[in-house]
Amino acid sequence: MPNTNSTTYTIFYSLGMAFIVGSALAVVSMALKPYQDRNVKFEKISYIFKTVGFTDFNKKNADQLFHDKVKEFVGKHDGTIVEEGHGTAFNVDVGQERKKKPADRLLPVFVYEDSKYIVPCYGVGLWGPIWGYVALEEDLTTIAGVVFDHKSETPGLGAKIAEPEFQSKFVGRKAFDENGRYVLRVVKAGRAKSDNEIDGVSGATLTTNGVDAMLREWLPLYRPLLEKIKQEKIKKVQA
Amino acid sequence: MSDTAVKQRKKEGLFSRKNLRYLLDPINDINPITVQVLGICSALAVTVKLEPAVVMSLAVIAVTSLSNLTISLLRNTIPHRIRMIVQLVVISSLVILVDQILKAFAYDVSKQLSVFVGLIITNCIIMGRLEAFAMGNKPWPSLLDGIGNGLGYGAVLIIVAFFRELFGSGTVFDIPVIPQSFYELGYVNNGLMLLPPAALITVGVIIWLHRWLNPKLVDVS
Repeated sequence: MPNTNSTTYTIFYSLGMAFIVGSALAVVSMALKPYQDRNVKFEKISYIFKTVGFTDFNKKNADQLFHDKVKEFVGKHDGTIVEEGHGTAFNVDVGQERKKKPADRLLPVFVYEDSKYIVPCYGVGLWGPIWGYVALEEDLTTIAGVVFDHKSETPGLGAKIAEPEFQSKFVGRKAFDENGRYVLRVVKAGRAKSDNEIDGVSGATLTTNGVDAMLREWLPLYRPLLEKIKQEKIKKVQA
Repeated sequence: MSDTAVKQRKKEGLFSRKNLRYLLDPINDINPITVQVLGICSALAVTVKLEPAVVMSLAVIAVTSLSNLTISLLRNTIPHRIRMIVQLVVISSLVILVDQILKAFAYDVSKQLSVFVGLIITNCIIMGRLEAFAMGNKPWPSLLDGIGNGLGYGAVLIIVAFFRELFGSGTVFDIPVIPQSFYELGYVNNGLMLLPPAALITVGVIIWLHRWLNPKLVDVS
């Protein structure tokens, strides 16, 4: 046994330890990466399917179903389509886009079975990021369904935005009026008076405000792009 | 010669009474949370619902036992001056491992636990056991001690989570247990139970009950 208190021993011991631990963790991380990526991808597909109420999928067939049922577009807020096709909108990270000025953002749009338009949004809750997907009916006004999720809202309070009880309140509401003006409001729990006002989560006003701000920030941005995509589709049908 | 004397001369068994004490004492007599009052922060954070509490307990059991085992195996080679660094490296690699495995195979739960898995590194129980036990004991007792302390921590976590979920959300493992008729009669879930102070109060009550049930803990001071 060498003298474990000598300086040379200590230095070599720490170098050896750093090397062994570093390589071991790198190997594990590489080995598990495909599984983790698959989870993230599956989660995103689940969000999108859930907004339109499609639940008949599992980990194995989700990729294929998504490929068959969903068309993807990427565009800008003025309605120009930048890209379309599989793997385009799916790979846009709205969390990153949010850091840009609204005019520069790439906007991903998913069209489910040529009839429902699904748009992702990203915002901040009370403790951390919140995000969601909103599905609009073909009139681009009525909400077909929403899914919200969050990183670290208070469980049992703000975290309830991720539960069906809150999300089902959005179904059938109008996000825009006849002139295309954004009118949806998510208000403090119990304060909703009219049809375009939605009760927030009780005890979680700040998270509720976050949801409201997120939708207000993103939905109007998407509107011209959605109209453009809809026109393109009509053109294709007529041609 | 009596039987006991013969037994004592034999090689100590894997689950001899002494070894079992390493495993069981931390669950009761020297429970890390209720007696040593360690690891409180995570006990506050992950006990709103049962499921994350259970997963967190399993993660901590894995980390305490494996880090105890590793450090005990290395104990004679570790340079004294950097022993704490070595301990931390072992703990943090294990925690990263647990985190990565959860992300790969239990994604939903890992999302719920979010940052708290990473914070297992700072759980005082783990480093405390390494320094106090694994540095001076053989691997097998160290492993048992690690599992025992993890269990002691997990037991309290799960008890706290049970009551917080029951009274805070009216569910157990996300299954509603409080009948709808109660709500119709005006029963409401207690919002305070969902917030960290409720965990502190619950832990306090558990400490009190624990001392009341186990007079050994009521010391003379």
